[in-house]
Amino acid sequence: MIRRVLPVLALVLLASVRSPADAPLVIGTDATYPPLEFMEGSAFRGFDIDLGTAIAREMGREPQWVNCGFDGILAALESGKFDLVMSALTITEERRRALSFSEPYYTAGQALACRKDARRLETLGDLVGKDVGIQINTTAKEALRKRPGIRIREYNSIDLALLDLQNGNLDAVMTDSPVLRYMLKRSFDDLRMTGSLFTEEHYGIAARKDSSALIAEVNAAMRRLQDRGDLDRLRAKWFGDDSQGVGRRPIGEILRIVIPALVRAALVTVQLTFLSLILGLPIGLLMALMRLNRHRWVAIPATAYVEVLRGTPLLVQLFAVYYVLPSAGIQLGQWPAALLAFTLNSSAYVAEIFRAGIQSLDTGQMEAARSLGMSYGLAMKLVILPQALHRVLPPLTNEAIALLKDTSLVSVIAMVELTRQGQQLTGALAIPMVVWPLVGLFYLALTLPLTRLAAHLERRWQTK
Amino acid sequence: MTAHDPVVSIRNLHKRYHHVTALDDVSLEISPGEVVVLIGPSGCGKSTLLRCINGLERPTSGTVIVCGQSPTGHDRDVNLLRRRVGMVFQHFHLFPHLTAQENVALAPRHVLGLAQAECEQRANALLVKVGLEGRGNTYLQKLSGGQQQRVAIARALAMEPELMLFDEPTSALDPELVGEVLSVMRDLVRDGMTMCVVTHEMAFAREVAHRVMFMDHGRIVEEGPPDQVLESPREARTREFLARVLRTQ
Repeated sequence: MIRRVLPVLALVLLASVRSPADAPLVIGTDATYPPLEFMEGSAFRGFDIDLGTAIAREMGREPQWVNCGFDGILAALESGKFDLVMSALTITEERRRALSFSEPYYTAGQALACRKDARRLETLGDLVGKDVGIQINTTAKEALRKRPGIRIREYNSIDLALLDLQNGNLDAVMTDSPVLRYMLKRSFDDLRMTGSLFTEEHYGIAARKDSSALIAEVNAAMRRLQDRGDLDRLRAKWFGDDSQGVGRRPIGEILRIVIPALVRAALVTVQLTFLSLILGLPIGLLMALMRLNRHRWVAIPATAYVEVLRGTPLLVQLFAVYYVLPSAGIQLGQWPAALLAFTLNSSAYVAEIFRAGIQSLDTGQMEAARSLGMSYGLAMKLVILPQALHRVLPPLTNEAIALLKDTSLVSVIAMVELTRQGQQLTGALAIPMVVWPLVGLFYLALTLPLTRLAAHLERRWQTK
Repeated sequence: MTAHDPVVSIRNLHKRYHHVTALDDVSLEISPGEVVVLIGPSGCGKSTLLRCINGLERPTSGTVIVCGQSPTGHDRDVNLLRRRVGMVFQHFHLFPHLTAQENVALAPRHVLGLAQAECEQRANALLVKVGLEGRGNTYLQKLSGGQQQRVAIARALAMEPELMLFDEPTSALDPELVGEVLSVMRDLVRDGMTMCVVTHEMAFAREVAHRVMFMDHGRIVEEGPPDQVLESPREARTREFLARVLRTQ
């Protein structure tokens, strides 16, 4: 009896664990790595994107691509934000211990770029004592570490490393060969690829350790694509000598891609800033009033709240809310997580601003109000807070501006706002010198009205 | 409480801040309609004594009864008592975000819960009384120190108090503005208001006080009718103090 029940039970369990077949297949990628994955406007493009989409369709699922910074992408996979990661991810022994990988789908190697006017750097030996730029957490690091004495400098995206190399701050940049070839062809005229490949690396599709069934499905789909010749066609499309999508584009066409993308991203920046400020204001006011309360059991929790949130980096708070809370059973989406982290953080600063504003008032104001028979609360409401509100306006404006700029941190939880969009665009189009000044202008266009508004309100209240 | 019970009754009042003694065994009674003037060198405890009367300071020991109630009890009771005790501060402490009229009308509106129209009416009448007719809509920055202090007196009177406390009401004013404030206070004495005034204006004390008290080092050193305390003081310390103050005045 037992023997017959157990397999049934296992099947039931398996069925409940497996995602339903009609649910989308969520794939994480860091779309700053052309020609493997990059953004064009709001569209995902690249070899990995085409292949991943073909595999998903072959499995009968609709792919859903999620953009995520490379430094947080494996953490996001493990906490269940995606089903798969497909992001030019090299299969290594270390990664194998934590993840399951598909069969390799592409073989690349680490290649080296240097300035055209510099001495040719061919071997690891040539790099001893030199500064070599790589993208953070990539396998280039392992290749370079084989030879001690090479100074490794890690960048958030590879175009930044190449830009630094072009500016003379690095001696070389090491990254995957297809990416390097693409970037140099696109926009780095003063750089060239040197020597041969330093490693042989196999890209694989990663899933969580417990997803071996999913990986088996992926492998089966990939084999069918290989047998039909689809995989070779994709390789030719993206890596062949006359591969499409590689080559210069006119500036008008570039701006037509860049501007709408930045406008969309700016909207995210603005929404996140204002929502978290609006939610943070009442919480901050409450915390300020609690800290000023003469009862210690009211003041101490508020003090602890403020000190913890002010004393830890916002980046760490974001990580905690998005990646650590799920392990406690609280799974938040990107928006709720970002909003929660930013609201908590801003409320702590707002609390201190309000507290300072209230304390800057003459104690005689409270005494005069109390001596007229007002309760503490009534005196706060009628006398203290109206005056404090005028005083906190300038520091609140500062906080709003700081918050607006801090929203760039949400790229670690895979949200695309202005800075992240800038990274994607420079990655995709390889035109950092056009994109970054534009990103700066967008920020300025957002913060300037804020400071003007605050100055206007201050003037109006002054004339009273 | 009958008409003849004291408005303020203080017995053996002590007030210490850490190791500093501000008030040292002070006893005092103020009868209805009486005007008591407290004089003494700065730091002698006169302001602290005044602040103990409306509960802004809590006594270390001793009893304080004001209008039949203790200003050291429950918050709610102290709030009720303060409605009946007006206070005027050295630095006015007007509410700078409000107009003169709004300053005066605020407490009747929100503490007593009177109708807005009635509060405005009361505020305007009091502004007339302190000689500021037609200045109700002015913000405070536009008023002189003397005018501001008169608004502060009107603000305290708006609660129709049984007792008025004045804490050096003219000390922060330019000399030429002192007169207008004293004249408003003189009117209050004429109306029969019970008052306790801390001041350095000796001529004013002599003119309006029923009783003058000289304080030094937290104690009441000498008290009596103004003519006696100010003209022929019994205590050497009073004489020294008066000699110093009169020389500078």
